[in-house]
Amino acid sequence: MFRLKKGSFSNVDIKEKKGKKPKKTFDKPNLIVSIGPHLRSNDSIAKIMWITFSTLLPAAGWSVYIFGQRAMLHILVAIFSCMIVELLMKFFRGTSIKIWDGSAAVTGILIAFNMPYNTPYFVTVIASIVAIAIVKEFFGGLGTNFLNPALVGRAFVMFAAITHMSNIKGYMLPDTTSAATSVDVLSSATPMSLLQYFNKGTITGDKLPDLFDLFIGKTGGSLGEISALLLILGGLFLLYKGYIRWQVPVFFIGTVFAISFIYSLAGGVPLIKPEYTRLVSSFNYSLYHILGGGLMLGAFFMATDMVTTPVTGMGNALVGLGCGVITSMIRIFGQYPEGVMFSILLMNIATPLISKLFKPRIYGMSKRKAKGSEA
Amino acid sequence: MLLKFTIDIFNANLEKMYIGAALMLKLNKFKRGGVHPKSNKNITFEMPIENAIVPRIAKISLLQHIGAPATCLVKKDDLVEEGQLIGKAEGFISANIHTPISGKVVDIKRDWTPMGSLAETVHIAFEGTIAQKFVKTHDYSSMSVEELKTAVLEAGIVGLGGAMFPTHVKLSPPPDKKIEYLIINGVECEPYLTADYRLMIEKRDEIIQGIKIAKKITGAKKVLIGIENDKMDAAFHFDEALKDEEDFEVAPVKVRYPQGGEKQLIEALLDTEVPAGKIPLDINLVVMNVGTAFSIYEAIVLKKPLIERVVTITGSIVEKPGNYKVRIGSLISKLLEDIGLTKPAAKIILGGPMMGGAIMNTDVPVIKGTSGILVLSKKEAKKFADYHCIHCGMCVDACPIGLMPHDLIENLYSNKYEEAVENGLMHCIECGSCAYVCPAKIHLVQYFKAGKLWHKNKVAYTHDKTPKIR
Ligand code: SF4
Ligand code: SF4
Repeated sequence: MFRLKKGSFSNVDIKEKKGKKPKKTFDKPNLIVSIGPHLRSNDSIAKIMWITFSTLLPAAGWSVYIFGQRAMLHILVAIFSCMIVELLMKFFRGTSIKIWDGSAAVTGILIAFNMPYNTPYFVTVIASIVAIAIVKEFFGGLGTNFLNPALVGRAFVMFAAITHMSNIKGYMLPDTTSAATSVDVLSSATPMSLLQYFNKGTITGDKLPDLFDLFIGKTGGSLGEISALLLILGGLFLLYKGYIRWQVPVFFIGTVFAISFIYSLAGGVPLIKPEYTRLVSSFNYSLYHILGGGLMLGAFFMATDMVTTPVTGMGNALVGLGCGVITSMIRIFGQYPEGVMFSILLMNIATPLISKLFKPRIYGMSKRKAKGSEA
Repeated sequence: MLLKFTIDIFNANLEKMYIGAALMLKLNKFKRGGVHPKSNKNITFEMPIENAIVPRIAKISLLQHIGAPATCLVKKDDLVEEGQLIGKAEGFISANIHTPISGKVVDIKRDWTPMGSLAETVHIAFEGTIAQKFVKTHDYSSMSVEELKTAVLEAGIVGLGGAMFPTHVKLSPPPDKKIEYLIINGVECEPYLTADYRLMIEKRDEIIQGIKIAKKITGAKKVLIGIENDKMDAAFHFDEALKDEEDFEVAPVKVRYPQGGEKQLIEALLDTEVPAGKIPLDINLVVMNVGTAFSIYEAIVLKKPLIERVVTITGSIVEKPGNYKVRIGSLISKLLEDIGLTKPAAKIILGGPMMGGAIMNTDVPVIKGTSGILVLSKKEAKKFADYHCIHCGMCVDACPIGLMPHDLIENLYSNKYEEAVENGLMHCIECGSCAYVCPAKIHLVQYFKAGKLWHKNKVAYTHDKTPKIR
């Protein structure tokens, strides 16, 4: 392409001689020449990434408030290891350094958010290395990765470091700096595993956490996913800025809600409280599904990742729908208590196909077909 | 005191506000895409049209339109008179060229056009005085359609919105076509430009006469005048004059770039689309710029060929920004010298900032399609390093045509031109909406232009044959 060197040329004189090509003499370069548009919007990748990063900060703050200094260290470790790995990879690949565009920081904070409180730090570092080095940089850096780096990092350590990730009693170190040490947030199972026990009939409904606690985030879980409220607020801000599409969260959360509601209505689970009618109980049951676990984090911040989702609204609606179905299936019928991660990864893989499916109609054409046509 | 003042203003404008609000509710716009760049029109909004300096040397390019260049009718050292024909239209799709000043032909050679190509150019040195030649009005009511059409052809009128398509071609539909609507484009959606707006405010009656002539030539049943709703005063101004005319309708449209595109305006006003590969004429429409309507008036009523046009000269570093009546062939450097810059210019754009072209050489002339001269300072003329596409889809949302610019760019990066054409590259109107919104700051339009050139000439305009890796 016409790469422009610094500055360009002005006052070009043409001296035409007989039988010779016009000779160009260039004066001092002072005018910039480029092809329009000469106005550009204020959005840039760095701006989008840092705004996304800052919308995650309230949830991070809440996490530190609940889990104490360990949460803070996790988040910092994840962010710094992501940035350092990216820096090293850029060095090896010989590309320009772009760590300040914030994408590594967002990946880092998302990795930390997906880690249980008691994970050893080295596991977080491994997850960051997998996320940035393998998933992102090996595939060509930001924009060409086809999977969400943070999720793959988390999935990798979930299987590779399984003994360090599950809630084994030995790793439940009481943290004296935490505001919530006395509460049984740290020692109890996560809401999603309780919900799974409830599905199986092992426990009764009154053992489930309070719904309001679930909403504002006074229950256990991974570091960042606990406060549905703060995540929703952050997500709404991103929606307002237009950096994520409404289709994904709406369809994702809506599908999960609908499926669990229907499942409960059909009698798949016992009543949450004996005094509830079936309808009220089903409603409560679906609320547990959408407020508990990583659904809000996934629906607002991870399934909406620009790089790994389709570019059209319809395509994103389909992604949201697919994520919702897979998540509900795993949660209700599967072995794992949580399915958000897998559902998003699966839909990431389907993204190129979905992108092909929903192409907008070209102006003046009855359907999407542009072959051999001249405009 | 302040309150009373506010109430006074409110009362004075009550009727207008009411109509404005009513119009606002049912304002049309094109259905998909579009962007909303900062308009910056306030710099020259209030500036009445002034005469620019008469050029000492005019460089008149013989290619100021789409189609074949005109044939030169003069020789070196000939004496020419203001308005004299110096270039004759070559074939049907071409246009006549007239000299804007009296003087002597000093040179005829290939020279730069503002589009960055070379074309035969007549250099005329000014001699004598500016005669008030074209002031007498002529009655055209007895002229037949054919005569009117010939007069338009002879005056060398082309589309003044920037496309520079010869107007007589537009006005000559095949005899079996019944033109439904004549659409007058007063949208001027490009930021910074106010030339059409000022023309609409100051020369309303002349424009309406021009429109009536065009209506007579085309035999259109109805006339729609599309004006964006940031220029509501122009819309009211026209509405006032056309209140009693049944076939005329002023249609305000919502501010949105690229509303002024022919296809987008048709979509906004009539809710129909021009079928792909067709022109508006095929669905019985003729679209014409207000500036063109004004020059039709001049050509027929004043018998004045197209030798000057209104140009918005603007930018934050221009000393006296404004709307100037510029003689075609004036050099940009001389115009800017006269009008003055407060800081050195970093970028000079002919036309609007979205679709206009930056020039590398200020010694190029104003041509018939030059609607504005925009001077950007070093701060405004930012250069952007492009990132890799992050598939955000903002460009897909912004494209008024329904293309997927990120897909096309992927094809063009790897020189897969055929694939890009299959994906609809040739439908791109180069409006720049996609590049405007792209957060990765990819120079999308640049690639599209290169790809289109490839399709036309089958020559790859790339330096590197390898896929671009960032
Ligand atoms: S320049 Fe072409 S691809 Fe980009 S928005 Fe305009 S029509 Fe669409
Ligand atoms: S706007 Fe730019 S970054 Fe976003 S999808 Fe389009 S080309 Fe890619």
